[in-house]
Amino acid sequence: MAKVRIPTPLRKFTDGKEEVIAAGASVRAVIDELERMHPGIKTKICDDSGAVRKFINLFANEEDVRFLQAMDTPLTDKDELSIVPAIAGG
Amino acid sequence: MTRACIIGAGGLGGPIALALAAAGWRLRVVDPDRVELSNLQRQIQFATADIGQPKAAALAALVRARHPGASIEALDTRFEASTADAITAGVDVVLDGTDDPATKFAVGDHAVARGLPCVIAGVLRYGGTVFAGAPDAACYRCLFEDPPGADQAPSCADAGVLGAACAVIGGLAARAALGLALDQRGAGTITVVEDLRRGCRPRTIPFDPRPGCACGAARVHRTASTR
Ligand SMILES: [Zn+2]
Repeated sequence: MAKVRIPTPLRKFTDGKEEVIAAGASVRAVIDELERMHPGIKTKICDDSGAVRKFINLFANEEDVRFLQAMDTPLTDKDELSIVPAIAGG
Repeated sequence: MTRACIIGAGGLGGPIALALAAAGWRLRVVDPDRVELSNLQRQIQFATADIGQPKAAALAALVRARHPGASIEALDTRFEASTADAITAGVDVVLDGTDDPATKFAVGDHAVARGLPCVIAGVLRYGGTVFAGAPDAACYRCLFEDPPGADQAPSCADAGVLGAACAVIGGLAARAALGLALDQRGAGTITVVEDLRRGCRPRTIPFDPRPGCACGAARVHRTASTR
């Protein structure tokens, strides 16, 4: 389980919520649970192969998950998963 | 005196230019667009009388009015491969505050190729992000490998931007530039403001260069050519 911080562009899937608690012991499991709770959100985060999209970054407690175990990075209920997309507005 | 160019004279470029001019920096502001009525809610450097004027020149005029001694140059040029070298000639730091993903990546790539510290800022609705990079730190593509497609990133026009969010993110971008100029402080970080309605404090997340990113080769190339 982890607290997931939802970025602005994806809040239309979470009824405007900035934070969602989702079950799961890894980044992959938490994202799958997020999809179960809020259908449609996963394809915005991951591509068809299940990899994180290139303009999105995931941080587990402020560590880039690509330098941990990527989608297999373990998460506990003390952990926070941040989804940080490239934001283009100016 | 530190010299910077600011790509985009809109919602972020305005507060960035005002903050850096007040810090005594020499500035070049670059924007091919003209002021429109719909800009005024977030681009607070402009007034109704500026509608139809080139944004870069109108912003430079405001900065000069506030700081008569300021050195600020305006270019109504689009940042692209053919103009990048002229736009960044002689500057110490490059900042991007445009609303275009492709331009953000192009500015990041150009900064890597020329060994320039850079700040890339984005704002959407109630929050935004500020990336800070320098030649020896991670680059924008270390963090985001490729720009989102047109249907994947909501634009300001579609999603809206809280006017005050521009001031916050623009201020953080200016602060990031001051840190980079001082001692490359903050290089290889992204600062995230999630939602100003909740009074969120900015979180600054450091990250490392990504193995396989093109900036690694550029770094080696630069080191070899300056020997
Ligand atoms: Zn890189």
